[in-house]
Amino acid sequence: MTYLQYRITAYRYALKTLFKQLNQFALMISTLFYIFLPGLIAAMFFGLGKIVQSDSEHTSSQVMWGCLLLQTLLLNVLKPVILDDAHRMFHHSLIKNKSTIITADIAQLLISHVLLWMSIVLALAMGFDKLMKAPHFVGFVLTQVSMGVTLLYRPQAVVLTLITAFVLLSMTLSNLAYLAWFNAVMLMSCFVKPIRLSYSPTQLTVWSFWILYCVHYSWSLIWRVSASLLVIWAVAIIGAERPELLHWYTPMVALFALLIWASLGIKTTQYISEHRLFWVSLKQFGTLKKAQHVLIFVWYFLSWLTGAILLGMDGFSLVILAQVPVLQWCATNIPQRLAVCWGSLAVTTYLAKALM
Amino acid sequence: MIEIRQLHKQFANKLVFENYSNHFHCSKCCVLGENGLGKTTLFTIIAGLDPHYHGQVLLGGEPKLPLQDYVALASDKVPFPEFLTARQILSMTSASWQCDVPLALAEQLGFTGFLDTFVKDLSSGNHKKLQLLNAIMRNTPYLILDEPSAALDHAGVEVICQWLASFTGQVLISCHEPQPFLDIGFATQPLFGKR
Repeated sequence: MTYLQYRITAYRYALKTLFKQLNQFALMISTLFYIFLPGLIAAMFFGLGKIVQSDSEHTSSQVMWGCLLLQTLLLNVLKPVILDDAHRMFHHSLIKNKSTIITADIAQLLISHVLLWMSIVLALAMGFDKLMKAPHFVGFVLTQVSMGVTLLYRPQAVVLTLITAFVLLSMTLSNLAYLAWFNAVMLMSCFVKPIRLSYSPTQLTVWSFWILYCVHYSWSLIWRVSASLLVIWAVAIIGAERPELLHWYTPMVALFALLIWASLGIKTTQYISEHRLFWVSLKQFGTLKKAQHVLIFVWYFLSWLTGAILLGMDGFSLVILAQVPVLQWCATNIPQRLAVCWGSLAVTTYLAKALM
Repeated sequence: MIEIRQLHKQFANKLVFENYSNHFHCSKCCVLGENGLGKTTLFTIIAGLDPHYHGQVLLGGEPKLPLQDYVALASDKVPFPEFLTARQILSMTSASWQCDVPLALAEQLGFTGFLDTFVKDLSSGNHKKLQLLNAIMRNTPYLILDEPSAALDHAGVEVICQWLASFTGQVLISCHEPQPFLDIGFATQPLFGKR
C-alpha cells in the first residue's frame, strides 16, 4: 500500500466514523427537512447567484462573507478527517518529504469542499464569457480554496480574517477590493503568534467552572453562535426581497436556534455524567446541573434577542421562548427524542399560527 | 471500622455483589482481589459516591449518613475535569469541605511545581498524586485509596507510606504490589471471604 492509498483508506474510514457520530443529527435533518433539502440546495445557489449579480456590491460582499463563514464551519467539522489527525505522527514516520503530506492534505480538502464544488458548477453553467463579466466570482472561488488551505494549517488566521472582514463590510469597497483585502489580511494573520485566551479564577465555583468549560470547548459555542447568526442573516436577506413573507420565517429562525442551543444540553450532560463522581464528591452535582440549564438558556436567549432585534419577531417567537425549558429537559433526559420533540413543537407552533 | 452488610449491587448486565457482607476490622487494611471483582465499585459505595445499591454500610457499627462526610476516596473512578489545573481542583475541594490545601504534603511529594498544570497535561504519576492529595486533604476519619502506588515514583510511595503510618483513622487500600504498605503495618484482607 502506498502512502496515497493509505490516505484514501484513512479518509474513507474517518468519514464513515464521523457520519456514524453524526448519525442522529443527519437522520433528524433528513427526516424533518427532506422535503426542503432541494430548496436548501437551491437557496445555496441563490446565495452564490447573489455574489455573481446583486443590486449592490455591498450585498455581494455580505453574501461572500456569509458563505466563507459557512464553509469554515463545514470544513472545521471535516478537518480531522481531511488531515487524518489521529495518525498524524504515523504520516511523518512514513514520509520524509513534507510536500507529499501537504499535497495529499490539499487533495482531500478539495474533495471535501462541497461549497467549492457548487461554485464551480455555477461557474461552468455561466460559461466563460459571463464569468469574465463577473471577475470577483473567480476571486471568490480562489478565496474559497485559499481559506480552506489556511484553515488546515493556520485556523487562528481564519478566525482573525473573518472578524476583520466583518469589520471591512462597513466600508465602501468593490467586491474585488474586498476579496483582495480579505486575502491580504489572511496572509498577514498567518504570521500572528498563537493567541491564548486564559481565564483562571482563583476561587472556582460551578458558575466559573461553566465559563471555563465554554473557553475550553469554545468550538461548541462558536459553531452554534455562527449557525444562529447565519440563519438570522439569511432570513434578513430573504426578508429584504420578500418582506410580506418575513413573519413566516421569523418563528423558524427562533425554532432553529432553539434546536441547536438545546443540543448543547446533550453534550454538556454527557460531560457531566462522565465526571459525575467528581461533582458528587464535592456535593455540587445538583448545583452544577442547575447552572448548566441556566447557561444554555442564556445562550439561547441572546440568540433569540438578536433575531428579535434584527428581524422584529412577533408573539409566536415569544411562545417559542416559553418552549425552551421543555426542549432543554428533552435534551438532558431523553436526548434520543430531542428531534421528535422539537419537530412536534415546531409543527404545533406553525399550526397555531396558520389557524389564528 | 467499616462493615458491609448484605450488599446487592448490579450494573445493567453484570451482578457485582449479591448478599455480600464483609467487616474490615483492621485500621490499615489492604483489600486483595483480582482485577474486575468489584473493589473499586465497593470503594465508591463506601465513599457515598454511588447511591444505587441495596444493603448497609456501617461505620464504627453505625449507619452514618451521608457517608461522604466521613469517607474520602482517591480513585481513577473519580475523573477530574481535564481543563482545570491541579490547584483549581484542590481549591474546589477546599471550598466544598472547608479544609486546607495540603501544600506541605504536596511539597514532600514533589508536586508543588505541577499545581498550576492542567489535569490533561499531568503525567499518570502526578495525576495519582493529585488524587491522593485531594482525598487526604479532607481529614476524614475513613480514607480509601484505590491503587495508591500505581504509577508513583519510589520517593512518592515512601512519602505516602510515611503519611499513612501516622494516620489515626481507618484506611482501606487496594494494591497489587502491597509490600511497602505491609512494611508499615497494613494487614491484607481478601475482598471475598474472611481473612
